[in-house]
Amino acid sequence: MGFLAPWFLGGLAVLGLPVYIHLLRQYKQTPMPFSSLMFFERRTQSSIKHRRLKYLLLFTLRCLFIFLLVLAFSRPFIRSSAAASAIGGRRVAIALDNSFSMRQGDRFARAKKDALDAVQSLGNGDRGQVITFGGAAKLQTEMTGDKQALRGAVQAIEPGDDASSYSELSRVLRSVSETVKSEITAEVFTDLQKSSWPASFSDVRLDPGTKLNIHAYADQPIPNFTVENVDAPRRVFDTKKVRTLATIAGFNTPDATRTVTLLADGKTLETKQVKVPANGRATAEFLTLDAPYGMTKCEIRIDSADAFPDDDRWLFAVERSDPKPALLVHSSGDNNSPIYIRTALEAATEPAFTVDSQTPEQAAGIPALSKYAFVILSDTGPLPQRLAETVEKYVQDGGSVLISLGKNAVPGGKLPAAGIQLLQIRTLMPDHERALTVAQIDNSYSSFGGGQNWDGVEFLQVAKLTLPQDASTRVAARLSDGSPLLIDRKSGEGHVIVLASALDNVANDLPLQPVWLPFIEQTTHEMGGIGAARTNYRVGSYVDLRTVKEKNVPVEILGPNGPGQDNVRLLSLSDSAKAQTFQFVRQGYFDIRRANGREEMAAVNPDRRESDFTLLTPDTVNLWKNTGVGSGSGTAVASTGNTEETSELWWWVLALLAILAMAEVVVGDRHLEQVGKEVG
Amino acid sequence: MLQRFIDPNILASISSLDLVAKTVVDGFVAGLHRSPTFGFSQEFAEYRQYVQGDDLRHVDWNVFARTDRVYLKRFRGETNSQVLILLDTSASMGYTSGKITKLDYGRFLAASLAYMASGQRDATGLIVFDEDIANYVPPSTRQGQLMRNLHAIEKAEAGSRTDFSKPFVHFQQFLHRRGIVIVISDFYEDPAKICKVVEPLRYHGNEVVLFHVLDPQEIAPKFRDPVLLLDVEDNVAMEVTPEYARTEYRQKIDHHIKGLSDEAARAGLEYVFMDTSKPLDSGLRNYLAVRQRRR
Repeated sequence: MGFLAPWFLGGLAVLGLPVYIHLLRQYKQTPMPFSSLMFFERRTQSSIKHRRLKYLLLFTLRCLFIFLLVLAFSRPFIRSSAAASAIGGRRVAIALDNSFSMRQGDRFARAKKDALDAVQSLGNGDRGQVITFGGAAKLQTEMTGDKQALRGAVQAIEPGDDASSYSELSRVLRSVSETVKSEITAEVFTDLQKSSWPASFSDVRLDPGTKLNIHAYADQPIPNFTVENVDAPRRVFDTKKVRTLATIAGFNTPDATRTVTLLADGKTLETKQVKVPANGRATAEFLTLDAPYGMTKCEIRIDSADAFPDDDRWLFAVERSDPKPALLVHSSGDNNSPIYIRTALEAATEPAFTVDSQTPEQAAGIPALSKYAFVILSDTGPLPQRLAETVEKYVQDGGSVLISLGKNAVPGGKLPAAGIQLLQIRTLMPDHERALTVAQIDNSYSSFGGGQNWDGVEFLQVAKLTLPQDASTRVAARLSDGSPLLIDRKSGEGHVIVLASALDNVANDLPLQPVWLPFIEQTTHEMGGIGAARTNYRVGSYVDLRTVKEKNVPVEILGPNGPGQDNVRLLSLSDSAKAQTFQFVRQGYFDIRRANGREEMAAVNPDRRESDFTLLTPDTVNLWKNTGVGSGSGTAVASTGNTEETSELWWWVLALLAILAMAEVVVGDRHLEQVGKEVG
Repeated sequence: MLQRFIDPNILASISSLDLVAKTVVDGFVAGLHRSPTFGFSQEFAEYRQYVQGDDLRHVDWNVFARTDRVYLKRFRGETNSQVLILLDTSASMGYTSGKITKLDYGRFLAASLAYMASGQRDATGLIVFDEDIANYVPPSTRQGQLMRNLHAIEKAEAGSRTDFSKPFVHFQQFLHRRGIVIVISDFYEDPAKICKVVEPLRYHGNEVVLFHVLDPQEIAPKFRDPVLLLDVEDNVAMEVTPEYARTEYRQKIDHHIKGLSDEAARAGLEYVFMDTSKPLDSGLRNYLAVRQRRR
């Protein structure tokens, strides 16, 4: 027996307290003056003896209480090899790699069989625990001597699609070692992929006393071709203007020509040949994607010519729809802005909109604007009353309007639907004044994504505005004189974006600058409701299902849940109402119905690091094993041949302490009752 | 009828002894609903028509003035009686288990009695004693006698031991006339011995009243633990157990009180027991009521 904190034993000096209270204090009495002792008799001895006997139980309880309190703080433990052997001789962690790469050949089947053999080889006193580390390492059982349970756990393990991580495995082994507080043997069944090794060696550190036995299922790297990545548009509006780029990678491969096929809903659309250099990459480009309307399950596939065909395809999903109409209202004398805007929208990577150009007078005849994805008011000047009302209603109902201000704007007037007052139109003389430039950009604003360069853009005519000071108004860009250039104001359910200059090449040279195209594309995409939602994910990644405001709104995910189980509901009823995120653990297509009602399709592919079968070097493996070798420290004790079990006793001491405290209360209470009766 | 008596602790908070006496006496007298002229010597008895030979000093001239008839005002007992109050100031009288000491209680009692007697124009005197006579105010009916008595009572402080024999021998030389002798003490002495010392006063025709003043802790001590008691008079310490105090001591003190009461009755002395935790006016009122009935 020993103490983990023996210095607390100094607290035993407090035992003097009850001794003082019960014994010493009795003899030291302060004389109490009394009028006359005429009727008293001296009977001291018998009285003290009686008292000491009467309080003996209370005294003993109090002494024991303090003793046990000190003992509990000192953290007593017993170390017994006999006890350890009685509880169980060995602690064995059976770690099985069920990552995507283990699907190669019969690796997983062999590993599983060996793991079952390891369970079988456990002795009578041995205890085992099953761990998987394809993706996040998971404890499949607790440390138990029940071989049946261990065997069942191993048999239930199926190969996954996630990537293995030796740092994850080491973390779990450290946790197991801390829990069992004794030497553990880790039987690791894996393919020793180099790509599973972490960047820092300290991440794979094992606790002293952890013995690592690695059962490798690969002795040399195998050549493997894979579709490493596919770059395809999320939405298709014109099937003739779709560019799909597929990257074909070869790991440990010689020069080869691979056939790359583009499929949509299982139908082959196009096939190409690419030459993949030795141990290198090649790109295949497809310029059409004849997908039907709606969501389409697309796939890039290469001809299988290696030992691991599972990674020879890449799944992706596209959504085909017609371009939406957008309304451009411009003054009759303005011929520039329609050209620039239409050209920019048509040149976009996803030409999602068709432009309907009209003058204010013509637009005033449109009864409702709801059919338009967005509206641009390009330096229109004062709008006809009817059009102004229609625009106001359009914004209130959730539409988005971009207003540009130029020479036609009337100072003092209010911008339609925005509630922003126009103070003046400032025109700079290029010969006398320096043109204004963009001084400040809010990169988090949707119009400015992708690192746009606004440095060369010069503004000669800008509008001065009075902005409402509220949370609905956001200034996304400012000019060099500090005045707002781009303002986003939320109004009703919609947005009004105000550009304090015109969309022509007179007031500024923005349409002539390279930034014009991404600015218009991103601004119109945001206005038209085409966000930047992803459709392609990697196994192990998460997807957000709802925002904070969308509590208790049901979401639904249909997808594969094992071999031959496609389109299975993957969320339970409670998860459907509560889950914030969902983790993709398998490859395949997933139909997601979000809380806001939008339906999406997500294509999930395994991490392509799993396709690289380069092996860890034997030196690295030996270094890893050596991190667990060494003398024990703390409560985990490692010794060769003889295992010692350390059991802390403070819990039992505390339990005893609690019982003693209750006994002391009862005895003390009875004593007080007795005294009360005596006094009464 | 409900009689509201005054807590001794409240009396202790009154600084003026004169006021204490007035408060006590006026309070219980008002509560009696009887004539204030009773108790000691000058107690009105009756009116009688004058007959020749009667002393003209007893004629009630007020009645004569109103009715033109001559009546004599008759009193019961003696007139111009002498009241001598003996206040024990031994060290044991300084004991208290609460706020008010036995000496304070005795002082209030003495002051109240002096106030009453003075109100009846009796010659009131005071002897303060412990083992010797500490102060003596001769009985007198002179103006200011009450204040002299109260002043002497005020100055009384707890002294040393009690010795009844020595001062009581001296008392006898001060008693030239018959009267009432009131002894206020805790009487920590053998009852027989006390009565033996006091009894001679009775032989001179005096009426002797013993006021036995004790603290509640002396009557029924309550100790939680064994205590070391120190006798305030002779500084002897003694450890006492709660069991003893609860049993044997109580028997002894009860026996002592009863013994003193019996001995006093046998010697023709009046005995009044007073607990310092009980209202003074209550005890005094009871005593006077009993005394009146006895007459």
